[in-house]
Amino acid sequence: MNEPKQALLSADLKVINIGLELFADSLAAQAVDVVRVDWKPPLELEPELERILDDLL
Amino acid sequence: MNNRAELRSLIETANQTVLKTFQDSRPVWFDVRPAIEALPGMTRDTILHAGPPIEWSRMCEPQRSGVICAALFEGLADSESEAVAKIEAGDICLAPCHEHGAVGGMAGITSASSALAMVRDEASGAVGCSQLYQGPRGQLRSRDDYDREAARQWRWLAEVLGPVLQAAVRASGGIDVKHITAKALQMGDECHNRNSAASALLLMEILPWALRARMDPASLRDSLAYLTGAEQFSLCVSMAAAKATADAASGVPHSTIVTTLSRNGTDFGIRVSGLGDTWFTAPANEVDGLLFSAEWNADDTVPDMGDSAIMETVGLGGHVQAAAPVLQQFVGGSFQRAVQLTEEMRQITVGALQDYRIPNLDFAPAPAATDIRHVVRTGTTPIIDTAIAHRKGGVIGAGQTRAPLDCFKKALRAFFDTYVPATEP
Amino acid sequence: MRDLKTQVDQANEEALRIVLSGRPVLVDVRPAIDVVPGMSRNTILHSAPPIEWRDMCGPHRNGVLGAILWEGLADTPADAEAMIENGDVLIEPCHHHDTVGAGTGITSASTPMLVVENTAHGNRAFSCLSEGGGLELLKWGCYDQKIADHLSWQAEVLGPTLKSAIEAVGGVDVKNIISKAVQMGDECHNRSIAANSLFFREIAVALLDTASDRKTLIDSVTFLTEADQFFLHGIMAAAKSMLNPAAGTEFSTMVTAMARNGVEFGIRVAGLGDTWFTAPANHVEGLFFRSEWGPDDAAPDLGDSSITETIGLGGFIQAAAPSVQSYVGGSMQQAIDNTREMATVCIGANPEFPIPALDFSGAPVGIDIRKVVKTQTAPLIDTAITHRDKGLIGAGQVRTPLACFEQALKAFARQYATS
Repeated sequence: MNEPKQALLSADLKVINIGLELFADSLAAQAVDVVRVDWKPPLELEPELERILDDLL
Repeated sequence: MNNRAELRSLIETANQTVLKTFQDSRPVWFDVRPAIEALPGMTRDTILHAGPPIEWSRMCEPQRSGVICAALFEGLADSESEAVAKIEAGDICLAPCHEHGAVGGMAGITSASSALAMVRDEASGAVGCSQLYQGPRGQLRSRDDYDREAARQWRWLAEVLGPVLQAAVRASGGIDVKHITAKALQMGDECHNRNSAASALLLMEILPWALRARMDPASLRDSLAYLTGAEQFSLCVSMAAAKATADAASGVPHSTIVTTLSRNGTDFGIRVSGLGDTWFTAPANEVDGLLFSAEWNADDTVPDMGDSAIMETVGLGGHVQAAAPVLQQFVGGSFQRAVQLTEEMRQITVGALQDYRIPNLDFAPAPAATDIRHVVRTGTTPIIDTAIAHRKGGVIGAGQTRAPLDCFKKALRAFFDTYVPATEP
Repeated sequence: MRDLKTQVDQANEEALRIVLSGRPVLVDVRPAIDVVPGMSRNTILHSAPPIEWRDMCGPHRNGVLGAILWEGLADTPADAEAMIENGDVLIEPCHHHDTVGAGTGITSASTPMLVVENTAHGNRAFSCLSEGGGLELLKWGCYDQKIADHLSWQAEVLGPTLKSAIEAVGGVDVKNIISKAVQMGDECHNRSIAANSLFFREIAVALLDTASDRKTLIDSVTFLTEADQFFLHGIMAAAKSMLNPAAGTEFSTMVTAMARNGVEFGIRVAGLGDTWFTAPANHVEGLFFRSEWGPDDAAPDLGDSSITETIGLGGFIQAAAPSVQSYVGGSMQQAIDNTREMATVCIGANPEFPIPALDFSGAPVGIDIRKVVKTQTAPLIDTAITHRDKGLIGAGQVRTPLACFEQALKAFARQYATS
């Protein structure tokens, strides 16, 4: 409760569907442990798909 | 072009039928039974996994180790090498949960004795099943951590929690999952990565019945202790409910609505109502999110895994992101971002669920029924809230990812080939 | 004057620090006579501020009579009334006994009380067990045999059952529950369903372990799982326990109590001791639960439950609970605007009660009477609507009157400006 954000997260860490006991000690390190993997929005659509969509949508 | 106009009209009608199935669905949790009794086509030597079909050789490590653990647990083999040999010889059959009326979180490993939550959509009669949530000690899918304790936990789910829940749910005459879901959305759950409210509500629904069912006191106490600590427990029930709904919506000719979103840690697969049981796959994306400890990094993670995206399939989870701004903390987001994501999902869905409202959006209904045409046209794919698994098993983080666009493109081409005769230009 | 300003600012920081450092833990359930300071067999408590019997609103009068009958102090309402007029029954505000009571707040010797200890400061505060849902409760001034039987069951069965369970878990951290509940759509006044479920989860195993018999267990669990607002009273006692240590902070203009008795609205201020500053209570705007009910049927604002707003919950964090807007036909934007408006009359923010829809900024907390008067912004209170005779008839929101803040500020000036 001294670190409300952690308290919040500790609730959410159980989010998970399987597995692991959550390690209270590790929570302190969380803020720096963000792993980001960017997804990229698609570029232009191929002409074939454009044509299909023109027919179907 | 008249033919095209007619086809478009058929698609619209079919999609409205599917949407209505989503809207009208009334999932009720009515039983808990072992997989061998609950699932159509299940056999003693079948082991089910999450995601689209995949050959043993291409399976990600958590699924491989989970399959071996299950083979040993079920007594199908006495050693790991024997298990592998039997799998390679086809003596142990591997199949997707989804093809047997079930869904499984993360690796999704489900074998004959696995206790399953069974949910029926009272509107359509369709039944969906999900393995029970695996508790904190369930490390069955982690090769390194696998030990007797994991087997004990698996057995406990089958022999203690399963029967207790079975007795309670049967005594209740059925637990209204739709009601709990609707309430949970008002309590900060999006019902995929956050299930704190639904789990608490479910506990409060079940317990009075469990007490009346005159269970063995030790089993009852053990189960209650487990349920009071399991903040994600309701997800298995929600997933079974979503599976029932999605299966009811499957197989509607001409519909371009997605009825399965699923991942096996290698591939992401979708199925489309008007295209039957065919899977359209593409490599699964990595998950953007927070790892729970500094000891791990991106190299430790497997790509997107699990059948839990059945929640997004029916318009919950990532689709109702705005209901659960707490989850933005996993991705460094904001409330505004959560709102935008929900609005974005409206661009690729054909309707909304009047019974599932988002308080933070002035009770706007949840966007539902994802249309592959809209996905391909906009390039916007469903956003999926999910856990992050370690390559060697176990959950090490949580966050969000996107369905890969290629699945939808493949499905759209297949749809065209199926419904537009080859003779037409 | 500059020095006084600084002194007041510093005093307010200190008063707020005391409040925020509180650690309320639900430690016990006991009959009022055993635990509430100054309680006697013939004392009946009611929601503050103090009020004479003859001036009381209908729900209070009916509630006091009901409590006298339930306690067996009198056999008929007429006898009960005679006892009151003869001074044989003492009628006092809950707040004068470290107690807070929702609605009528009627509390008597046998009433089972939630005992909340502020473990950081060593003080205790109390609130009665919630009677559960329903439009006709003693809490709303109703009394009949069914209500009496339920009160007796709570005193004889539920109270001891909860006591055992709470002791078995070593006390329940109320602040932790509030913090989580605020992430789950509760503003912890008109809506406390999440807090209730979290509380239940904490004691469920202990209930199973300690309940005296199977029927007691099933009855208690059934009641607790159906009473959506049960834990509001625990939150109220927690709020009172957090605010009390700040009372008496010299030079502080922070409000330490807000309460309504259906006739008057009263506040207390940290630097002004136990004095109540009162003004006529406003009428609550909101949703009436039946079409036959309307504003003319309603009693003015009633109950000690505005202790939740005093601690920065309820109407102060509507942005955390958009569901509550449905009572007043509001919107998410209105809820956010209201929370931002309340921040303008507060001393600080509470990082332990972060609001998700405001990107986890802390709940506004610590009402400063100077800011209320200067901005003419009256604190906003989420609350129930009580019938002017008895019974719950609706829910909504209400503004405090400004006059009591203005009186308090004048009194503050008299006490401190010349010193």
